[in-house]
Parts: sequence; C-alpha cells; structure tokens
Amino acid sequence: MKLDLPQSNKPGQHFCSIQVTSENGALCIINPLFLHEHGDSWLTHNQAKEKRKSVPWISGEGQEEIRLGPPAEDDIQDGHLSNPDKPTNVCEDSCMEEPKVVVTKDEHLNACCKSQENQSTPKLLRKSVIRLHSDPKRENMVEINETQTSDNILIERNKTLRLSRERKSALLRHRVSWIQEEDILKTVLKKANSDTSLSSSDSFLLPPPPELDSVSISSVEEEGDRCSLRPKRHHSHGLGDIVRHSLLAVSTALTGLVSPEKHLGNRIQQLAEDPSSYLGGIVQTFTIQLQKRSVVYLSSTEMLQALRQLLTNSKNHLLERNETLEILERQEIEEFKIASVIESSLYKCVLKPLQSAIYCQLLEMHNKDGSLEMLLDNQKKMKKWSLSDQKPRAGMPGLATMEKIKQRLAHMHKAYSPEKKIRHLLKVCKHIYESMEASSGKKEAFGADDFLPVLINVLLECDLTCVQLDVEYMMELGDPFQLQGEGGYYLTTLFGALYHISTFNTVSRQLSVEAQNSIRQWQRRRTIHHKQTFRKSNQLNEKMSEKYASLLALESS
Amino acid sequence: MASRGSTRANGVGQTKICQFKLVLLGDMAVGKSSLVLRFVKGQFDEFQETTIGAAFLAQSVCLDDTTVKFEIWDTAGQERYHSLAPMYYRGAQAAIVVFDITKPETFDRAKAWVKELQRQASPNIVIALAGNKSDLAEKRMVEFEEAQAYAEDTSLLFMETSAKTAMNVNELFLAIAKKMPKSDAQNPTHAARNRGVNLQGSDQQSRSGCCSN
Repeated sequence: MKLDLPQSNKPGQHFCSIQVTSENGALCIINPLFLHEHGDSWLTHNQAKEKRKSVPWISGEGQEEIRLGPPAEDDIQDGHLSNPDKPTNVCEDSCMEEPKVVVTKDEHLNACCKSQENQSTPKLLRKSVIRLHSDPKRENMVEINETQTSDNILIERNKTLRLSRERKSALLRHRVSWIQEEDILKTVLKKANSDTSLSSSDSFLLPPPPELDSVSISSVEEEGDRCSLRPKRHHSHGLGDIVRHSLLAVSTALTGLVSPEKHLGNRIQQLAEDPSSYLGGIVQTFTIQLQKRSVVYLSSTEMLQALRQLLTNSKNHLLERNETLEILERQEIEEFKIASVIESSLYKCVLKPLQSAIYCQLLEMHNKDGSLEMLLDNQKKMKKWSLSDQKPRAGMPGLATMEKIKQRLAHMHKAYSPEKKIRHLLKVCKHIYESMEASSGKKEAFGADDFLPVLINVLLECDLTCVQLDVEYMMELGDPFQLQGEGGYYLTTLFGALYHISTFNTVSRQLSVEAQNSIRQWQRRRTIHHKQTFRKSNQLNEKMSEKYASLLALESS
Repeated sequence: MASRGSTRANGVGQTKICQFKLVLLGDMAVGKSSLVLRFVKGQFDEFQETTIGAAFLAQSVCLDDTTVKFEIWDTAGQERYHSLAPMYYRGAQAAIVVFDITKPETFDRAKAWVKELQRQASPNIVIALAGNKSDLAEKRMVEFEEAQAYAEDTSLLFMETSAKTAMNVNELFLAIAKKMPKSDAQNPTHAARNRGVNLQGSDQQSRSGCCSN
C-alpha cells in the first residue's frame, strides 16, 4: 500500500489531497467534509511507519477474506458481536436485517467508541438509523437530511476512533477507501447506483427500478452466484472497522429507503424465525421434521408435495394478513406482484435452509429405488451409442459452450429458488440454441425435432444426478404460476429428456404408468392454480393435499 | 419470466385475454415448426413475445373483443420420442396435427396422433389437421378429399397449408382461435399473468373440463 502523498510533507502541514491510491491501484477518495473538519494531518502523520504492514483496526493481509457469497446468518451476528476487531461482512446482508440487529451493531459501535467519545453522538445516530428504517415512506425529505447527518456523524466518529487507535498503535496506516467498498456494497444495494461515492449520499436515494427481478430474493442469489465465481479477494487494502461500520450504518439507513417489497421480505423472514407466529410455527415444525426425519415419506414426490403445501399454506396465510392488505391498500406493492414477492421470500426462509436436507433425502430415496442407478447406467450406454449412431441433425455445442452449460447447470443446482433454477435452465437451453445456430452457419429457427436430440446429447455429458434432483425440485416446489409458459415447456422437455435416457433401450413405446401419473398430477397442479385469486385459497389446499404418485420411480414398474 | 405476460390490453375497453396451450404433433420434418414460425412471424410484432428458441413460441391473435394468446408447444416428431408426447399434450386446449401431403406415411402417423389425442388428451381439446407443403402439389401423395373426409369423420378442423407460401397458415390459427372457449371458466390458464385486465370474479366451479383427466 502506498499513499500518493508528497513525501516531503512535514507533519502538520495541511494540504487538500483527496486522492489516495491503494496497492492495487484503486482510487480512494476521502470525504472532503472530513478534511474540512479535521484537516489532513492524520494522513501525513507517522509517514515513516508507512511501510509497516498492518494496522489493528484494519484487517491484516491474509487474515481474512472478504466473502462475497451470501453469508450464513449466524456469521453475521457472530461476526459482528464477538469479533469487533475483525473485519466483518459489512453490507452483505444488512439490507435484510431487522431493526433490532441494527441496534445491536450500533451498540457494538458504541462499545468501540466508549472510551473516547461522549455517548450522545452514537445515540443520535442510532435513533436516526432506526427511524429511517421503520418509517421509509413518510418522510422522504427528512430521510435525506438524516442520512447526511448520520454520514457526518460517522465521519466525526471515524476521526475520534481513528485517533484513539493511533495512540494505541504504532503501526499506523490511514486508508479511507470508499471505492473499494463498492464491490461489497453492490451486493447490498444492487441496482441502487453503486458507482457513486458514498459521500454523496443523496445519490443512493434513487428508488430501485420497479422491475420485479430487482426485488426478488433470487436476484440476491444471482448476485451471490456471480460473485462466487470471482476469485476470492484478499483483504489487503485494509478497510477499517470504522469505515465498515460507517458503511454498515449508511447501508442500514438506506434499507429504510429500499423498496416496500424488501420490507415485506424482511418481515416475512422475521415471522418465519419467530416460533410463536403461525408462519414460524409451521416452518419450524416442518424443518425439524425433515431434518430429524420424524415423518416417513413414501416417495420423493410425497415429501416435496408436503413442502409445497407448506409453501402454499404459508403464502395464503401471508396474503390474508392485515399487514399485507394494508400494503395493498397503500398501493406500495402492486397487487399482481405481491404473491410473487411473498413466494420469493418464502423460498428464502424455507427452502434455503432446507435445500441440502432435501437433496440428501431425494438422493437417498433414488438410490434406494434404483432409479438413479438406472439413469446413470443408461447415460454410459447412450454415450457410447450416440458416438456411433443417432447423431443429432443439428450440431452439438463445442467444448467451450459445453463448459458454459455445465457451469450453468452447477448454478442451477446451487440455487434454492425453483424460479431461479428455471431461469438457469432457460439459459442452458439458450446456449444450446446458440450453438445449433452457430454450427448450422445460419440463423435458423430450430424446433423440437432438432432441439430435443441435442439436449439429450448434451445431458449425456453432464452430471445427471444433480440434474435429476433439480428437475424434481423445480417440478414439485415451483410456484405453479412460474411453471407456465416457456419455463414450463423447457422443464417438461428436460424431464422428458431424462426420462428418455433412463428408459433407453427398453422396448416400451408407452409412458410408464408412474410417469403418466406424475405428469398428469403436475399438469393439474399447474392448471388448477390459475383459477385461484390469491385471497381465495382454501379450495386449493384441499386439492393440494392429494397424494401424488411417485415422480421418478419410472423404472420400478 | 416475470416480464412475460401482456400488459398491452390495459385500459383498452373490455378486451379479454384468453391464453391457451397449443401442442404441435406430427412426424419429423413435416414442417411443424415452419408452420408455426410462419404464423408467428406473420403477425404484428406488438403481439409477439421473445422466446429463446422455436420449440416454444407464444403468439396472440385478435378476435373481435378477445385477444387469444397461444402458447405453442412443439414436440419432437421422431418415433423414438413418441413416448414423451403425453407430457406435452397433457393439459393442452388445442392441438395441430401436421402431415406432409407428399408423404403418405406421415398421414398415417397423423391419424395415429389424432386417435391418441382423442383417447388420452383433455376431452375438450380442439384438434386441427394440417396437410402441409401444399406448394408441392406435383408431388402430392395424399389427396385433399381423403384427408378432408377423414377430418369430417373424426370432427377435426382441416386445412391444407404451406409454410413456404403462407397459404392458410393464419387462417388455420384463426379457425382454431374461433373454436376455443372464451369464457373464463373454461380457460384456466389465462388469469394470473394477465391481471392487468379484469378477468377475475367469475365463477370458479367448472374448471373440470380442462384439468380433470
């Protein structure tokens, strides 16, 4: 790390440089307000020690990485509470956090400051943050002011804290790297214009675009996916707790400005975690049942259907809550969107924690019934066979595209939201179409005659165990609304392709009874739901409670 | 997928939007997808939805006070994929069975499809028979009269079409659109995604027609 400061500066000499570069060349901006208030002597102070390595309030090199993927919930809490001196995932989930957590974090901040600072400032800050958080709609103007105020207060506090640390530590290094923080902020603020510097807080007041994707939980997941692909970055440029905390506070304040959809999501999360609420009660009971395996399901479909039923019941319950009706009355969220916002939130608080348990049980069931073995055996057989015979008319994807497809399928497997999985599936199909077009050399529209054989051949190269679990997961757990249209078509096609592979070399021209039942039930589930307006839900529950035939025990017949 | 669905009809008087699943069946290379592409491309872009490929296409046609939206599910015509077909026609409210007038075996296969649909698909499914490649009249192997007589016997819509010259393509889809039930009760798939238009509030009872099989 180097400061681009004239080395000749004597301590105490004030200058107004606002540009500092870090080791990796990122531009760092210091809030001029801070310089205005406190001068910049702190920048040049202790220049001689500049070359030393770490600063206590900055994470040392290699000590900790910024984790870009979505953190586990306990990480957030534990991280902030128990390791005050360690860098924490400042912003990762702060949007999603409840007010009480904000307070906790501010208290931690208080604790840091206690020795140096009078208590009034942190209290003021906390108050304003909470007010922002709880009252987003009403006081737009006030919010702006408060955000700015809290910004200033934070800077004040940064300074005091920094001074205190200075005294404690001989290894001083001053880094104020707002820009570096942006990468992290992006995950939180998402579309809220993160390429502006934090010091201009008003730029964050732009509301997120009203498109549904921007508010859905799965878009958070998408960010996570994308981020996890990047090489992990070492936290070498050193972001101080203070900076992080100020960012945390600012981003927390910004949560107050985030869409009503987000608030609803937060609220649902809160309810799901509260065992005394209806939602929390049923969610936690089911979770325990599934994890302890206290209920024995006859088939994978039965298990997934029970879970889907839980999602549907929860959704209907949430749609009928006064809170939701008030949101609709105030027109904060459009009527047609609200069900999907709730659905996405439920994925997050129900499916996300259960996903690995679900996979685990599905895998066990299919190992037991032999269907997985059959599928994988046939995959091997067909692979040999397709080399010599039955090559698809249209060209197969090249190695590079195959790699992309495999990666996409891996993302699909990782995603916990069925909706998100379907989006990954559509992208896989798009890659296939593109490679078909590329190999035919012209922009040709390929229909199913060409697409299906290529899809099957592509699948032969992929991890079919995962694909099999995903298909089942999507078919049974997805919102019937989302299983219509293009998503439904390609999901059916994927199911068909797997079915074709697993029944390869068998003489039957007929679908097995199980497969027919399965498709019929699924189709029924997709269609009956469409007649339902979201406030009239009880009929549905009756329909949903039917036992479904085993989806994938196709070969057992 | 969230952006799918139509909003265009918002506020345009009493325009109803009905959405139907239409499945395409027929032997390989009889021109199933060409037929649909001709139909889709020949329509106003305004009513077209972008899809990732031609195996699934969506297109709307206007019919008096109703916009009929077709979600068109193509199937692979190869014999070896025959057993997958029920996955596609299950829940379809309309089907077009296509054959090639220059290949009599495709007509036989079409007849088998019709039989299967009438036995296994939704009881109210509207089936149309399309004798495609009518531009290749000199190579004709299936007589118009023969196909028409069969269609009458089995109560199908029938037209000879040419995806190449566009002959009868729009007409075929329009004829199907006209035969589709327009009341909400018989159209279970349209409601949710098109909430912009008020289609709610009608009875909930008779969805049986489409989903009870």
